[in-house]
Amino acid sequence: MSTAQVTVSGRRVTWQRRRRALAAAWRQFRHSVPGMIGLVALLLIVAMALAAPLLADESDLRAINAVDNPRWATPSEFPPLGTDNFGRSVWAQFVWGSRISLLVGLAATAIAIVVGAAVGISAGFFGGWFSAVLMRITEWFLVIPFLPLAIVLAAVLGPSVQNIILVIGITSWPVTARVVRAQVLSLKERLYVERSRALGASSRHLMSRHVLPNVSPLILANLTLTVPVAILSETTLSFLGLGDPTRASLGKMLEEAYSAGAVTRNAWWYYLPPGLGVMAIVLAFVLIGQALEEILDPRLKERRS
Amino acid sequence: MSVKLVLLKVLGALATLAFVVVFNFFLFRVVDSDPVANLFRGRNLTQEQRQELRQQFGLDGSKLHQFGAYLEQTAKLNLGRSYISNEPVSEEIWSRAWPTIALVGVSTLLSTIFGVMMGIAAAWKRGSKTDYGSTVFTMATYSMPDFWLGILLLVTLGVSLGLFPVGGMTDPGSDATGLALLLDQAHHMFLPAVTLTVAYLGEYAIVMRSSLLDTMREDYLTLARAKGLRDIAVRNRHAVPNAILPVITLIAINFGFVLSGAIAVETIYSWPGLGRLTYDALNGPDLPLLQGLFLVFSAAVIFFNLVSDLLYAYLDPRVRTA
Amino acid sequence: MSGPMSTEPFLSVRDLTVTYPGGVTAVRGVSFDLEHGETLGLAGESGCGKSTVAGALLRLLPRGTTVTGEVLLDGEDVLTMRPGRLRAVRWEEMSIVFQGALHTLNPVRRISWQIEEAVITHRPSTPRSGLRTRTIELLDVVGIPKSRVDDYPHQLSGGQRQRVLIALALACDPRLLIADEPTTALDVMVQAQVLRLLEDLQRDLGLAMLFITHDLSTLASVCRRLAIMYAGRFVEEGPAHDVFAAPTHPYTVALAAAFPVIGDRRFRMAPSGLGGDPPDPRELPSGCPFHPRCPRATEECVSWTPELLSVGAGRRAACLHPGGGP
Repeated sequence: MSTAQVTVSGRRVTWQRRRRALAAAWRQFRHSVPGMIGLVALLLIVAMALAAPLLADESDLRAINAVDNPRWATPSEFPPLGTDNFGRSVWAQFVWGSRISLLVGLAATAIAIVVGAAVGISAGFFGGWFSAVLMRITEWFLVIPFLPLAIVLAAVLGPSVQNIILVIGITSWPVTARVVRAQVLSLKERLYVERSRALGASSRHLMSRHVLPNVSPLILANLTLTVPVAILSETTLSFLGLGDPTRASLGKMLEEAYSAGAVTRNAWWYYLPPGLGVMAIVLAFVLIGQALEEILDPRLKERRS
Repeated sequence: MSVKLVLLKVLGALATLAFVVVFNFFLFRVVDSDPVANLFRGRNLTQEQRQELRQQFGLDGSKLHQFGAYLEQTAKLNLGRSYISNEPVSEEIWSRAWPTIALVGVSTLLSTIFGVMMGIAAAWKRGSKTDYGSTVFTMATYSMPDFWLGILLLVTLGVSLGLFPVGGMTDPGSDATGLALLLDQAHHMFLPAVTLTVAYLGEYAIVMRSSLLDTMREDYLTLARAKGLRDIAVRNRHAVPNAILPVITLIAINFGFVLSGAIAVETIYSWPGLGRLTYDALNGPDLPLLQGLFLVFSAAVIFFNLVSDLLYAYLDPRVRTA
Repeated sequence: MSGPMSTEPFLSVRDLTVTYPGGVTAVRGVSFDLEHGETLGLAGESGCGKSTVAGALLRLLPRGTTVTGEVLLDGEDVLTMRPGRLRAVRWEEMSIVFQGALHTLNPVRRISWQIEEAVITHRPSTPRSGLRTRTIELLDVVGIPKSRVDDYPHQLSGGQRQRVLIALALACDPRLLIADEPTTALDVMVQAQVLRLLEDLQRDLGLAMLFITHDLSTLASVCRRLAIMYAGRFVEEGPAHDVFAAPTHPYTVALAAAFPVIGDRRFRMAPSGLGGDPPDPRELPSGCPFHPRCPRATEECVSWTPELLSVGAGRRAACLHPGGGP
């Protein structure tokens, strides 16, 4: 057998193994009732977000187009969710707002995960003063209270969707970094004892071929638990007026509801749906995340049940 | 616990604070390259007048010079002047600090007590309805934005039922003093306090439950039972004192964070604290005020992290007598 | 309950069977008697069920464990006692000395507090000064100096912690002391000290003692009678000296053959020449559970339900082919 063939079959074996592990994990996940509920909910939410153009007309979001609509209409007067103080359809805002909130949550999490994982893996892998410096920076970020930092950054960078995503991403990566680094450290023990270095593999090879696939499940679980944080952060920042004024989001809906006086009018159709929407998205991710964590660390399962 | 250790921790905290101070400067200089223009918006100034003002505020000269001036001023606790009110920032912050401390203090106390009780009940009766109910409750409260809960409470208890005032710390126009004043303030604090309590209760419950479940595996509980103690006594005299250590450190750390975490809730209730001040500053944007607030909030977190660290070292006899 | 020594045995265990919540039956029909002031040794490999017996006597097993049979303490069945009565009996009549691992004692309470708690639970009217005196006295008996009385468990050595556990067990003047592997985690020299201490205490206080261990060498001097456990059952019992000198059950023979010379310490009881492992309690071999490893096993043994048969004066063994020699 030539060396080329050996390499190929070696990699195939690894992929086969990974596929089997994935199938086993999926089977286990299917047994978790909360996890499945979360997954179904998430699929419905994503479906709704993707189908937004079909569910509600985006032009309905503009106050100009709503001039003819009744103001503060209840859902029975103006189905399905009534109107706000400008006469705009609350349902349209809800559908398109969920889309933005979901988008921001996922995008910000993506940044946080990528940065956090990169920092965590390199800090754990290389160790020494490099790791010490990185971890010091990470610790420092954790000490800064989130909301003030986010507010300052948002004020500095200006209100826009991209900036909000950036702000949340920047403030969320330290948790991921810490968790990933701990995992890499324990992996490092195993790997070095096993092989590769002796065979002359480069650090990059080790990190991408060995460390990364082994850390991925943990990163995935961490991801599903970071999204809720990101979405709640977006909601709060938008509520405080730091969100993109041109785009609806669930947080922005709450801000507008509040400042338009929905509270005193008891226009429940305006302030209730966005909050429930946020809860639904967050709960879906939390349920999935917990189920994933239990698969990764079976001890958690007996602790939780 | 040696004096040297304590000193080291304090020095560490001061170092972190120093970083924050430096970071603060650069962050805001990125935004506000010409504070004078901002400060005197809408007023026509000549170039000379501008230059003179810049000199007054220490804004002329190189960045390095400015940085030096900033450090010197911060050390003297001079945090600049608010753009909006033109009052010194430090005074603004000081006058609004106590309402926030009171609100957060009361909420922390309540959420700790109820959260710990719930966590103990859930862990000791693992798998029961109590446990399940507490999990549902904590998940629900975790997933809702705290200010949204505030809105709901405001609408139901404040607006609809009229049981509680919907804003502020005292009734406007009232000149009550002493006990009457205190009662009025408490009346106004009720809804925001309940909101914050419910928002943070879940976290304590989860940590307490988890910690107690770990403790419940330990052998010394079996020994306690063998001694003939009642189940409740085993739980309260042996399990809980061990399990509660991580919770106590969490309380201290959280206190630092919640001080700034109450921004949205204070806004909803118009509670005249640092949170509301931040919201108002945002609408300026009143940058010196924001800068000062950022510093204060960060300092609070650093301080309470230190407190939590020292507290744990003191409370755990294994660390204390090491 | 202090009456004159009656003819009834102090402790009478009848057909004790214990099944853990997972379905594993760890103890299968164990019966024995213990007189006042008598010492019974219980020996066997890990997993044979001996610690479970100890836990069952005080009803300390995890919730959901099924325990059947009778545990008669002076005629009263511990297994059917009401909770209040059980709590009163615990520690006052019977107490237990566990292995002195670091977390056997509560790490955040001083050892004096832990002993005082035992005393005050059963004698609530004891004055503060009385508690203090009693604690110092108890610790003194086991050789812990007054200066260490207010230490935390982590400040003591393993041997000291074991002695604290003994002092604790004696706090309410029990009449039965169960020692569950009290010397297992200790060094040789410390082991000898603790054993000597237990012997002296037993003799001076007239305690009945159930001494559980996997290390046969410790049982020789401490116990008058001995029982060997295998797969949840007694396989041999009798006077300690006789059982050592002339073991009849093949398992005991293997153990006795591995009996170390005095002074020579073997930590694990790995009987020489005995292949295989102790059976999995979930899947016991048919008939006599020892037959796969037994040099004397015959066809009969595979289907024979083991029971203890008399093999001499006061001696019993659960074997179809009892006798000395391998």
